[in-house]
Amino acid sequence: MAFPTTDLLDEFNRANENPLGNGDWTCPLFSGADTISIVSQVVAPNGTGIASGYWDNTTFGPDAEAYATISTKATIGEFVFVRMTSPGGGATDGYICEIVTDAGADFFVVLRFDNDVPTLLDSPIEQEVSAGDSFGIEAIDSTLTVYYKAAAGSWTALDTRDGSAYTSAGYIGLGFDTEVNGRLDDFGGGDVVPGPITRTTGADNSTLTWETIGGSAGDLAIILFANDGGDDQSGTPGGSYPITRFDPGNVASTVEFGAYYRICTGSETGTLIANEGTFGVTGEEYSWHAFKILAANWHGTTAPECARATGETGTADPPELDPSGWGTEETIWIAAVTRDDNDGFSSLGANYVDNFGYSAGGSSGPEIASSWYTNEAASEDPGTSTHTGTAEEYIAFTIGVRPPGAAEVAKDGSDTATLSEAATIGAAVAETDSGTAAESLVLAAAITGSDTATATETGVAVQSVTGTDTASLAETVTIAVSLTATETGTLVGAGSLGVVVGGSDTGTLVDAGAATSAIPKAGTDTGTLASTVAVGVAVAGVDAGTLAESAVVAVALTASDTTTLADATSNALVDSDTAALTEATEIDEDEVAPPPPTYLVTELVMDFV
Amino acid sequence: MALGFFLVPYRHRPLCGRLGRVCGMVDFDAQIRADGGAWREVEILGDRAIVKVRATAATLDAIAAVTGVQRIPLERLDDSLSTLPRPQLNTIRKAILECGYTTEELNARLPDLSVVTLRDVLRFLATRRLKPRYTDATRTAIVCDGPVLSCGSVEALDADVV
Repeated sequence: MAFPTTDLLDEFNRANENPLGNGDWTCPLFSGADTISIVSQVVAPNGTGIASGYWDNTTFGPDAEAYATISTKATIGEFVFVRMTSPGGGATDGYICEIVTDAGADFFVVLRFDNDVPTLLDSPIEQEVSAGDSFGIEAIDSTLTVYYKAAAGSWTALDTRDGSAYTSAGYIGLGFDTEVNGRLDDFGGGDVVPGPITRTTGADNSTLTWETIGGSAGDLAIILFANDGGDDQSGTPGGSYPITRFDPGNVASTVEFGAYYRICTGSETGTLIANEGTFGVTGEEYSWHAFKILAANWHGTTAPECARATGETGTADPPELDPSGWGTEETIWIAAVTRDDNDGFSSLGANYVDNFGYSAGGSSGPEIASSWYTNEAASEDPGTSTHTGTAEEYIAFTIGVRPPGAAEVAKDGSDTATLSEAATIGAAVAETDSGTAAESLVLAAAITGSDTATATETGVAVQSVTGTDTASLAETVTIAVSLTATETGTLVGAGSLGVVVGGSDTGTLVDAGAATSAIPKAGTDTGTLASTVAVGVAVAGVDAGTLAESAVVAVALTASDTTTLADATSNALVDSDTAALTEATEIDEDEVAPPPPTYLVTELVMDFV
Repeated sequence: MALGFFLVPYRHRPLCGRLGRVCGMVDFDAQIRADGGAWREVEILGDRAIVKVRATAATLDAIAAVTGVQRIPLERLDDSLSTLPRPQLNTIRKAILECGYTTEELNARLPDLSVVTLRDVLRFLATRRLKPRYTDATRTAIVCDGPVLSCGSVEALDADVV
């Protein structure tokens, strides 16, 4: 799984701050311990004890992560933590991941705190670090994973530890272990964002419930089941919630491997795998791996496909798969192998390192290794696996899961659902759209029926309505509206507006920005037209409303105007005006030339005399 | 390389600027690494841990020789204790009781150790643990007498060291 899945929370690029606070932090985490501060835009300890602070805005988890960058390598140790509860009261519980500086190789340790008491979990993890490197910890279910990233490298999972003691949400933060020289920077973390796949593993005769898989409606569940003894798998496992087998079938070897899937409805409950009998097998050891792919991350209807390779001995090699159901797409590829007894799989190929998972069989049961990665390709060949033994039978799968398609919507019937797309959408609704349509980017909508819903587009909106539009239409950018029928709603355009009304307009037309309104009216306009900029109005029928323009107005009336015409600049009237006419500046009308001034004649005579 | 299961007490040592707890197997960490081996633990009742180790036979013998450390002479979870002589069964029974489990609950779950497997014994040992705390405000001593907590999975421990 990718790490981290969350963004930075604090880069500390602000003035010195002691203790670290800024409305986001509380120091220290532990009762009676030291605080931390910002010094020259990085975090430093205050004192020589354990110094720490936690992001106090909210708790995260239970699946949570925290990470930071080493600005100055510690003399003793620096850490980040997750799932910390009861901070500051002497009874703090949770987990820290500490990088400990050592004269030899540096190493990571994971400590569990119970009532403020630290307990080292398992062995130290050797990893030399340098300034500029980053490290972190991720808690998912009962597993803690330690991550490390070299300054110019990528994140790598170093090892895991048991995190089953504390599985509630808690605080995340960072700190220093009796340290004065270390400095940390760029702290991030939060709730783990699930990747496209989550996996649950069951080693050596474990049960599996639907609650563990946790599928919601539309999620794809894939179950890989291996059993010892070569007993054929049979029947339709799953009972009320059947799972469908999609691998090539039984091999008749000393080990069997079946791949099953179900498109979840969200109502699945109870035990899926009670024992080997669930798969029609009797008296044999078994193991399983179960995957859940969220509805948003796969196609939704196209079944997964599986290619298989088998062998009596030798290196297990998942075969090439070229799915017949789709072409070159961003496919999720799953590589999986089982082998009789325990040969200790450690890899399934270079592209399958990050998500590698392994379950040992029992004393003579089948082991399973699996991993996945996503790649846009027509086919996939994962390459050979790595394991310590080669003397037992194996079965290897390469599985393809089709990705979700592009958002192309063409509806001939009714659309009563909510349409919410974050990317480009081309939607053609031939009938009724009574849902809410909210598109954050480009929306091209051609509605040939009626649109009774509210349409709110924040990007470019081009709408052509040939029927009736009774809803409010609010566009903040460029709008071109062509109404051939009746427009009874409100049209508000903040940008440029071009309006052509072929029928009657009884609504209000308000343009707040630059308006180029060329409105030829064949019928009656009873609404108000208010334009603050240049307006060109040509009324062929009766204008019973108020026309107020504050800028240049060119008016051509071919019929009667019974209301007030107030123009701040020039007007041109070509027909009768029975209302009050008030012009603030010049008027162009048919005028009679004035008589010559008499004082000019007198002055000429006087000059002649 | 050989495999071994041990019951190992926690040592109370300075950790993160205060008194903390580390599994006694830490003292053999460098030697196990030098062997190319590994070890993992599951904390259980009595301030102890079940530890599985992969190391050379010599290292496993050295670990077993440490005072307070008890080796369980079986390697696979499904190995039966029926292969062990009575004195070793008695030693295992004594070690279980020293962790803090009562004779009554041991007899109820595992009345006859000679007919159970290593998995049965380890699962019983990992039934519960007690939350630790400091005995005073100066954090000079630790006791494990708090609320009952669950233990990690014996199967996961077994799978982690193969």
